[in-house]
Amino acid sequence: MQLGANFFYKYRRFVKWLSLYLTLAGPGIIVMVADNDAGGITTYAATGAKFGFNLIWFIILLGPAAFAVQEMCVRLGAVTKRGHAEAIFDAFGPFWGWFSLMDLGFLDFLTLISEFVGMTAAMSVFGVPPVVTVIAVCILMMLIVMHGRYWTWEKLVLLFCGLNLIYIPATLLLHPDFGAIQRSFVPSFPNGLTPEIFFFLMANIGTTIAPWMLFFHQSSVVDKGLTEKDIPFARWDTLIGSFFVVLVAAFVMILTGTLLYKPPNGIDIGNAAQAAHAIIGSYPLVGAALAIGLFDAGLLGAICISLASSWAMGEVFGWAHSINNKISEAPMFYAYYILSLIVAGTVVLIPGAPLVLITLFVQVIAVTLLPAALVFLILLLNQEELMGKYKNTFLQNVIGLSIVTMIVVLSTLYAISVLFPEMFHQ
Amino acid sequence: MSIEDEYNEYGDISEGSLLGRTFKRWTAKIKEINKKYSQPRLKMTPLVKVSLLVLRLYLIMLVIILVYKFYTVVSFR
Repeated sequence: MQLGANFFYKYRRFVKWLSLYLTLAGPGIIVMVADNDAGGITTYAATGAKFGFNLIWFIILLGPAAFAVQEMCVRLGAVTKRGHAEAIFDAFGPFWGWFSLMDLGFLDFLTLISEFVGMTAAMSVFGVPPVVTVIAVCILMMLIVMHGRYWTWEKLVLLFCGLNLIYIPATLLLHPDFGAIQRSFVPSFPNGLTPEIFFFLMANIGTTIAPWMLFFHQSSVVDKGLTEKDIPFARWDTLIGSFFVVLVAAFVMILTGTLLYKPPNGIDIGNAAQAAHAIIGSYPLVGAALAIGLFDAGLLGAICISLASSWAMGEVFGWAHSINNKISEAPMFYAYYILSLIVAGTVVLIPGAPLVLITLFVQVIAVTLLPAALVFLILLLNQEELMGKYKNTFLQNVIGLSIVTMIVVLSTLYAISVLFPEMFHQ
Repeated sequence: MSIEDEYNEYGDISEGSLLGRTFKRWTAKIKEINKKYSQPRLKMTPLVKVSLLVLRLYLIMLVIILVYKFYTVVSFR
């Protein structure tokens, strides 16, 4: 009888915890899944086509690193009730504030263009002209934010996050070699640490931890109204999100690794849509899933990136900047959001626009902002006056600093390799 | 007064004043933001100062690399 009562009590407690978690969940899952944006999916697809399953272990290692960084954003947002841009202005003054804001605005705009490139390329697999894709995406993205309720926006975006899992059934249709996948969990470099493998490792880091994620996550925590007592739930949210980011990335690698990888050297693919085109002839369902997933990834990335900038601008310029506001209540916030979408979409439609150059340039500009944003994050998290009992512990600092150092060094090398490709290609 | 003169007198001035007003409004806003955040709230401990210095040097290094890349591209052409 006592055992039954205990079980019932624990069950009720778990149900209560779960219902509370489901209410508070959102920002962590969204930011992490949106991290697998069009650029991310392309990088994972290219890695799978080039190295098969051999680098899956590396993507698994990136999950905890992304979690550690984003967890700090959650704490900072929940404690200070400020977005990352405003927090930088407040703590470091106008010089670093303007530097971060301008860099973020410019970088997000370029990244937004690359998301549109991904979406139009994905829809071209189904014969949809780019102009139709751009117009449809702009209308869809306006409709998603304009009803004036954060809750509705979040649940709609979570639906798109669910669609990101399309790579899992698509890959399972191919009956991949699970024995080989299991063996790939052990870190190894089949042909040694060649400059080419090093380039791909850096590219994977560059796509897994991006500057907009810090700004977006912190601002969405604030917009959702999470407080100190919600931090444990927000941590779970981020942890589950980091699990999904790794899961999707690994399945994309398995998909292209199964279909396109030819040992020992693999093949080079320019983008995920190119892979979808190559696959759709022999595996229509899998090719279509790859294209749908790429479109969804671009859409999620575009939603989060345009909001990250709009939130940051709103925080600094003092505009009303909540998704809970109607258009009439926050006209500048929505104007910035819509204008950035329309301009980025239009750039993609300009004949002869240097889209490849823009995509490469994103990686270089990201490196000017990422180290600064990460260093600011660590410094802010160590301020007792600001964070109180939520400041970083010694262990969190050791982990955080190690990850930040690794990210800064490797992403800088990646930017250099983008500028001087001959250094990393044989 | 010709139509052209009238246009110059009223059209340009009204356009200029609109641009001028917008420019002044934005300048005032930026000055207000600079004033609001003029005193950084973070305690400038030696560790913070060193971190910001390293960050500045890092960014200068990146700018040098970008300028060098630009130079090599231009000279190659």
